Amino acid sequence: MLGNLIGGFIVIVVGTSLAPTVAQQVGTAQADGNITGAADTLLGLTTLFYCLAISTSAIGIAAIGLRNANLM
Amino acid sequence: MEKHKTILLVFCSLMFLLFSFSNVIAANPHTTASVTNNGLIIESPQPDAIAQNQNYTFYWYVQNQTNSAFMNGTGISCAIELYKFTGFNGLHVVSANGVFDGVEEWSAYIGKGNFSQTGKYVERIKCNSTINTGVGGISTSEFEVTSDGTTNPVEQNNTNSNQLTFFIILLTITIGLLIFGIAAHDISVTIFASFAMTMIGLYMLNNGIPPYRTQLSQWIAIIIIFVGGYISVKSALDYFEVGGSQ
Repeated sequence: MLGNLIGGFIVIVVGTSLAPTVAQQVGTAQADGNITGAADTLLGLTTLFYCLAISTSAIGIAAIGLRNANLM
Repeated sequence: MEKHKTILLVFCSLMFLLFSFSNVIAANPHTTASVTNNGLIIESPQPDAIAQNQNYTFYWYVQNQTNSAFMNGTGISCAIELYKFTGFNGLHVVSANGVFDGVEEWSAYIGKGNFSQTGKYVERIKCNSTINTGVGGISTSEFEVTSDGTTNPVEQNNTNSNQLTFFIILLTITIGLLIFGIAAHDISVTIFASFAMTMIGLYMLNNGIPPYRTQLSQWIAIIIIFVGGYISVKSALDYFEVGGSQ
């Protein structure tokens, strides 16, 4: 249980630290001018999905804690 | 146990195939030049290749076509334009005015940000007389931006091959981690691997599959990014289901 929580926290910490890098790379790719139309729109969603995964992990870990404390 | 053996076998086979193909690379840079004169001759020592992400100053001379005398800065204006070819279209990168050194040499400084990508570039130097309308000259030439600034085919092939090998190692490690995470039901490792997939996809989007950067590589990159995104979100949702370990 503790191991899972620590693993989850590491995912969140590392994921959050790398989020600006992902956003920057997405910005670089979009500014390049070669990616247009649907590809450009899809690419813009990359940061959203990345942050969604991190936030879902955080909520999931919080839910585990609450569930183990019989609060949920 | 038998299932893990099969996964390991498939993974090793995949690695072998990827490394076998990694050395089949050939990209020979070349340089061509064309000059259009209408009263002025532009002579520009051309680089065959320059290094990626390095500042570069272009130099050229302007001569009078009639008597071959070097033109001074009086009555002449020069500009350089830079174009980049990414494999499927050309992009205007930057324009800069030429600066006369007071003797016979013109120059234009181009910042390293304009050479952020490898591939074929074209420089176009244009000089016009500000006194006599219609008098001028144009010089156009191609050069390569390479990771180390070399055009030696053997060295360049080695560099490209090394880049591709490095890229394949990254991809293999990521896929290996993903397979391990899924097989071992370890959600955290799976999420890490999917983050790595997203980043490899972004790298591939900006740099191509070294040394090739085409529209196909961009679509492959977008697919990889969204497969990574899907796996990360799906794996994160598994925390709710199994409490961190399936």
